[in-house]
Amino acid sequence: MPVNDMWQRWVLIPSWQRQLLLGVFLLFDAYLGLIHGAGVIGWSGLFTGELKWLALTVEMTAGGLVLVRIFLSQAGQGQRWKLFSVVATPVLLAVLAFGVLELVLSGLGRSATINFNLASIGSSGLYWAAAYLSVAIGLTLTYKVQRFANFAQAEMMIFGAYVALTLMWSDRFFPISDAPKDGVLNWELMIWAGISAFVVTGLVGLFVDRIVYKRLRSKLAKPQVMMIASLGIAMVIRALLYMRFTARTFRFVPDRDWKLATSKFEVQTERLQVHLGDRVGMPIVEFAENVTPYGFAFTRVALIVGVFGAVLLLLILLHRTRLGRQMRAVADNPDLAASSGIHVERVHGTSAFLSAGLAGLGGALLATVLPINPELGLSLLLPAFAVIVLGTVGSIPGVIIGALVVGMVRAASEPVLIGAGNALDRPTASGFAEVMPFIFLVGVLLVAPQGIGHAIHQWNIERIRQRRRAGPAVVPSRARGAYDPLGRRSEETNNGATYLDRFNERKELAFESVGRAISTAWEVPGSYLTRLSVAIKSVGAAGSGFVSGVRIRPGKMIPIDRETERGSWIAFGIFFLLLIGIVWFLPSVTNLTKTLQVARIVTLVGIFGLMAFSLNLHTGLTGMTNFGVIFFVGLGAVTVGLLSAPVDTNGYGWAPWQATILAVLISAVAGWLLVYPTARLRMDYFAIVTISLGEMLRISLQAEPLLRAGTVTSAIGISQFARPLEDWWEAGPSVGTGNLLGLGGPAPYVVFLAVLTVVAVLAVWFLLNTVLSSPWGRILRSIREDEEISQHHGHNILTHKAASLALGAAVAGLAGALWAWLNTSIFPDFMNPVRSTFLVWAAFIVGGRANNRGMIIGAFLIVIVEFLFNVMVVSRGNTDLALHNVVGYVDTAFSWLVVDVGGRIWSALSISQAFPKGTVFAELSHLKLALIGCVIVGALLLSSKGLLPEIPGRPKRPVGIAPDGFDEEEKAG
Amino acid sequence: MRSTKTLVLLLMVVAALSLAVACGGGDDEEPTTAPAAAVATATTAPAAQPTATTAPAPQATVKLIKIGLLSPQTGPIAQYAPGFEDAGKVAISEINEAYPGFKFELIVVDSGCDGTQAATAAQSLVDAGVVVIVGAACSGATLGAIAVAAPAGVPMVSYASTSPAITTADDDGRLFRIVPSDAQQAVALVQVVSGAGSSNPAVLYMTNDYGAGLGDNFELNWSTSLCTQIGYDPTEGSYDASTLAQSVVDGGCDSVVLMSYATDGAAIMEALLAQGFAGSIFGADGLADAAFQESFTDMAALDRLIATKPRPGEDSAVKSDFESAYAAIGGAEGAIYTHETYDAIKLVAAAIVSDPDGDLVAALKKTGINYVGASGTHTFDAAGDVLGTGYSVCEFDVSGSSVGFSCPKIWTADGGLTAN
Repeated sequence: MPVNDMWQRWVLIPSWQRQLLLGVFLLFDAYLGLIHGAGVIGWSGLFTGELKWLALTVEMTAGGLVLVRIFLSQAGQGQRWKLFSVVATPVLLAVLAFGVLELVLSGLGRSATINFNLASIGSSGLYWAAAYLSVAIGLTLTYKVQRFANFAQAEMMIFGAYVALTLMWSDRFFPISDAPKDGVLNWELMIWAGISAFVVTGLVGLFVDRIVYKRLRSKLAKPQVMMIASLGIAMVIRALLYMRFTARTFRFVPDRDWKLATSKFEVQTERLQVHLGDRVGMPIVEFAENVTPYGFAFTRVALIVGVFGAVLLLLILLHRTRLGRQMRAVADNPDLAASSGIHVERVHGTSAFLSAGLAGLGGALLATVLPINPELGLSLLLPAFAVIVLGTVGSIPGVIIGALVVGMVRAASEPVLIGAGNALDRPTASGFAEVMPFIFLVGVLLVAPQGIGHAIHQWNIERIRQRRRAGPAVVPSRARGAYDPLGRRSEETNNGATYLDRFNERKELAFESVGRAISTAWEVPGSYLTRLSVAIKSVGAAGSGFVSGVRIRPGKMIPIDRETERGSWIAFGIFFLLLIGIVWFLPSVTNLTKTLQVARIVTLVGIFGLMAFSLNLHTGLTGMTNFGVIFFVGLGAVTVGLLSAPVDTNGYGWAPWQATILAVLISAVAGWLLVYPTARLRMDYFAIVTISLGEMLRISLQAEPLLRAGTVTSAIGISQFARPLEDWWEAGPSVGTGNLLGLGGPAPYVVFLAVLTVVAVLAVWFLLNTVLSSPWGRILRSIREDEEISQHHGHNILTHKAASLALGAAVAGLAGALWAWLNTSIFPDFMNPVRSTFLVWAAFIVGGRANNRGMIIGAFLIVIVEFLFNVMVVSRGNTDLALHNVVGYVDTAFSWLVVDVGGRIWSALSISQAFPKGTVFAELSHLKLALIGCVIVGALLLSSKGLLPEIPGRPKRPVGIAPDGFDEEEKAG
Repeated sequence: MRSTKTLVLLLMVVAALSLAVACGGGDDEEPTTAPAAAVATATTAPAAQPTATTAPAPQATVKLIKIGLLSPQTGPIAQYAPGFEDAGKVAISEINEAYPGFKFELIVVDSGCDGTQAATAAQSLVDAGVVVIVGAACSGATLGAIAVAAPAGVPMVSYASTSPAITTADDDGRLFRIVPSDAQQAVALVQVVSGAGSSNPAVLYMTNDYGAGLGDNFELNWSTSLCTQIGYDPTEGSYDASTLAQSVVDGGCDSVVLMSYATDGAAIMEALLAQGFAGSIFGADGLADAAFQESFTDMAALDRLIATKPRPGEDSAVKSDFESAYAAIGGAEGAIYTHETYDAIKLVAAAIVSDPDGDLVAALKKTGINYVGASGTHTFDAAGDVLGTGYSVCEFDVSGSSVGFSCPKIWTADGGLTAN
């Protein structure tokens, strides 16, 4: 068999050579396609028009990425090369991007001019770096010491901004802010705003840590639980800010002179013009003439200097003081730290104070540059995650470099996107600048899976090793050469090294003294902080004492063990009936509206339930932290929408069922493919890659014309797509159903959709249960528990993970199709992670990990909470609701809080700024947000395993013999 | 067992909640015995019975009518929600005064600028018994909400959704909007920009349905090639005004056309001034309002801005009356589409009063013929869209600390640019 023979030979080639062949083929084929109109993509006839060159671009980029990866993996022998490869990665990626652009443009016969204004890019890069860093530094600190991703960090930052605003409106400072311009910069308000934002926000962080995270820590809650708790905290803080300051936008003016257009440094700059594509007689790169100087606004300088200065002080604090050593000790091993006499809880408190405080300081400084409203934090949170991953989670020097790199990439990409976008008829391409941090991060992770901080760490180890080796000075240099792939180190570099060491000594001496100064300065507030935390603790203890005083201990009355199959079903039944009871009692007007309401609830529960199933398979069972549920859902929804939209409006006119099958398949394939590049990633990196993919798809929906259908192409969004069996339903069964339900007319389509959803959920549930009770389910669980052991047992981890991802993604794709049909249109906002991924995660954690029954309960809960609290929201304007009077009490209480209690802290001006009509009232939609946050946090504090915990594969050990930590909740109770 | 304790605790909480809701529901049913139309007749004395009315209601009974307002209180354009609600309050107090036989209630719910949440909010409004929903602002939210409202027989009047998808939506003829679609304003802007002598303008637009629609239509109608086109996400913290300004300067453009909202528009204009851009600046209705100056710290950046906005009716004082009423209650600054919100609610009220027990959709169509509002004179076409009556071309003139705002020219589809 010649084919078999060839195959055998092919398999025998080393895998990197196979990949090399693949990469070269892809590049060559794409080149043929772009320049000569030949190649596989052209011949296949699948792609026409714009799709063709887009596909070619993707092909070429993929080929380039494969080559870059081979280069790095083959060249990366030895430490020095590793470091070099990490540095080279961004450069190589940039070269690749420019190369692809150049070929695409010349293939299309167009030309693009890209203007790099060096000073502008530098300033903008530093600005983004500072903005991202002020969120990311707290994230890193929390990650380092407390080991969870704190989603409330961005809200802390905005809190700091509002502290600055409140200070600005105070009687003492408002005259400074309001003074007419006089040409003199007034620093007073600026400095006080920074200090008070740091302290007040820090105290809020400390308070939250004591009230929530400390309790979760004492229950040994998983990082995922802490993370979702922080999500709840973020909602509560955002809601409180909304209620106190309303959704209005405010500007922080430290003094009018700070904000004038003339308040800037004039920076001389050069403008680099890059001409790509079909250039006629133009050089590729040239310097433009007559460049006006760049205006670097004072407020931006203040932000950059302030944030980077604070981070440097933090570095010194961490590395040169006792407190810092304690923090690092706790970060490394809390038990060991505790045993060597470190007060672990106090260190946690300090870390919480510092993380929140730094974010607050950043917020106050950012408020001088940007108008402030409570939503601002969210747009900085996700890029901040990208920053900490790029810098290796938990590494502070890494995060600084990460922020600089991401900031610079973002700033430098904007001119490219503008220039190339205009040339390719995609002016909206500049919208992609927002996701550049993610695109870049995904690119880097694909080739260097461990981030920058890891490289720094390795380099440090190597440096210390070399110093040790150089120390005795008897090691012959030839022997050392054996370690060094670059050959012998010359005398010069040796001299350089000793010089560097001496320099380092000096540097350390200087740092030591600064560190000593900081630690002395720290001691005074530190002692107050301790006292304060004791006070908070006693308040908290009193509170919990009160709560446990009134707690009924029904365990003895109704013994249901939710960790057995039977108990779990019973608990599921009780919860389910309860929730149905709530649905029953939800007010409505007529039969028709009640039917609509119930159908909507059922459909939403089904959609969120399917999404939770998918997340449960990925995260709860296989142990892959998937933060991109909405990516797969969006993929399904967009595919269904695009394919079944009418042909004359940019769609493809498929039947809904065909589109659904393809959508589910596409999601599944995306899931399967995702595993290969991400297999080597740590799980928290995997989370960031998935969340990044979701954001990329969302921005693509905004910016890519090919993803628009249903009306004219200038209109964002996909609409007018066909829904399954809509005509059939309206022609026949709807009338009968309407009569049956007593609606006085045909039943609306959503009733049919609800039935369809129920069928889908039951089918998927049955399928998952069947699959998971098979040996494969056990393999997945074993991968979750310990990858290496299951590998040792002969399982191919990669394939199993891929299959799990694909299956879950398919389920999510189905949920996306249902969602598209429910909404009747697809707009980018539906992919907002706050309203999708985070909600599903809340359902997943609250419902109970690794238990599909819990998924349904969790989904039901998050859907019903929205409806339930909406009853409260509508009662403001609705005089015939009983709750209407309650609104009056809420308003009175809130007004009392803001005016009488809060009035002692803030000025009357700060109240009238937010409530210009003089009446202070509580916006119930925002109160709703706070209550939902409270429900999430409360549910986790009550039961950190969720309402329906996983049923252990083995029966429980008898009580009494259980080793420590076996049943956390039992102990904590 | 610890776990069961949780269970029972949750049980109690949920039971308490459902009790509260049940009470609410119980009370709800009593006065709402009226069928599908859901126009309740309550015998309660109106809270603010106008004293100066000439024709008092024949009896003490007034008709209670609930109007829903979908406002984007959270999400990407949350900052503009206070403006919509303030405008709604002005409208509601005026219609309660104008129609003594009725008591109008405005029920405000959060649309979240998102189809799913808006649809749930619309369902809650329908459950509360509203006869009509005013909203939503974001086009995605409007389309999500109409999918709930249309089957329930509740019409909707959007005050800010400009997407063409609204025209074609599957709405059983129940979806109206009081903002003209972007296409016409783009034509007006093109003539204004070329009329001012600009040949090489840069177009900066938001990548949302309003900005992208306007930007694409501008390019379509512009005869030669544009200097550059730049899209940006208007959410604060997603774009860098300084980079956008620098790109315009580096591109060598002689003017800038901004399709933006007030806050981001002001930020970009301040950045343009800081980077020494000397060309002229044009804007669309997001900026064409005297209140736009409140978004600036440095007034010098506002000088010489020329912006278009829908033209108010010929001999109408509605606009100035609304603006003074809005200012009197301390309405939010830097707001957008407040005139449209006000008009939508007043138009809806007029339609309800014209035929209190009849078909509201028909009444809306009848009322919406040459309706003179604060944002222009509106006539609904078959698809529920308004055509508009042309645009005013307004200018800002800053000298020292005083800001002048005037609209010396108008643009109409037939007449082109003429003096006002």
